[in-house]
Amino acid sequence: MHEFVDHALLMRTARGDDAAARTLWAILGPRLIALAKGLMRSHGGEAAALDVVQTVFCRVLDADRSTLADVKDVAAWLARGVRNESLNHHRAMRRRDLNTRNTSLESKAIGGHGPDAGVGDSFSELNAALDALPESLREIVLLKHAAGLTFDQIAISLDDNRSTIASRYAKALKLLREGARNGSVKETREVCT
Amino acid sequence: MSAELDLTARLDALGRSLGASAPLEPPAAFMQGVKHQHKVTMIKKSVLAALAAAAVIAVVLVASRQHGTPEKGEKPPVPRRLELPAVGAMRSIVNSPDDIDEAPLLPATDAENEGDVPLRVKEWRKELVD
Repeated sequence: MHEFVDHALLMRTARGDDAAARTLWAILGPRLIALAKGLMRSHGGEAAALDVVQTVFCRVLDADRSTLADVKDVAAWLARGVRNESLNHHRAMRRRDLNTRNTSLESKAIGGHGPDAGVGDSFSELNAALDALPESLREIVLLKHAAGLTFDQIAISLDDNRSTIASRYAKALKLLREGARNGSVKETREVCT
Repeated sequence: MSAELDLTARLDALGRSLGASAPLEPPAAFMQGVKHQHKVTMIKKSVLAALAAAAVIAVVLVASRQHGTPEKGEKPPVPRRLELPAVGAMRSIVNSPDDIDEAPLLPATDAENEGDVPLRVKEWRKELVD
């Protein structure tokens, strides 16, 4: 996140401070919704992303004091929560889709679960290229550009080394460029795997 | 290099577009939770304050008992004076020189008993009066 989020803001929110909760949402809410939408592109729309972020914010209220005190970086911690919750949601939706294949077509027709739901056509190629990336690279790109995290924050969020994150990001950009140059999303996926 | 910049700029724009439609107001369920948490915090605070006040009162009560502060309607205890029997005898002689004959004698010391110091207080007092 470009704006620094004070740890005290998180603690005050957990104590039920209305102003702190609103400030925390104003700083991190939109970015985290963007991240959730990016992560759940094939299985969720605006409402699902909002649900995920809301669940993560509600967890701040349920978390015990020692857990909150251990938080190194508020933005990274919340982004990690959104990532995990999005993955859970994604898995649940996939299971449901497998069980009821017929209803998925209906939901797409309603609008909200399509791959490009909520995103303009101008990004359709980029979205396709992003979708073609392996999950480990895609989430780094999303954490960087949708959630606006720094490499250090992404490293905290994914519990990984900063240099590993940076090299994966460079690899993701390379694949995206190649995918855009070739105009073939499938080729990009083959290169990755 | 410019292609890379272009790509990152496009990715930034994509990120912004993803979050553009996010509501400015926090979700109602979250704010409801915040309100509930505020109540819980207030209750915790008041309970803690009551406990702290009770603890302070208990400490004050215990301390007052130990230091003999009188309770309501109770007379303060009179401090006891330590007085040796010899001092008492001397005091009674000095206060009433006329009754010197009736004045009690100081108990004989070991030295007097041994006969080294035969002077008794009664005689010594007589000398002083003369």
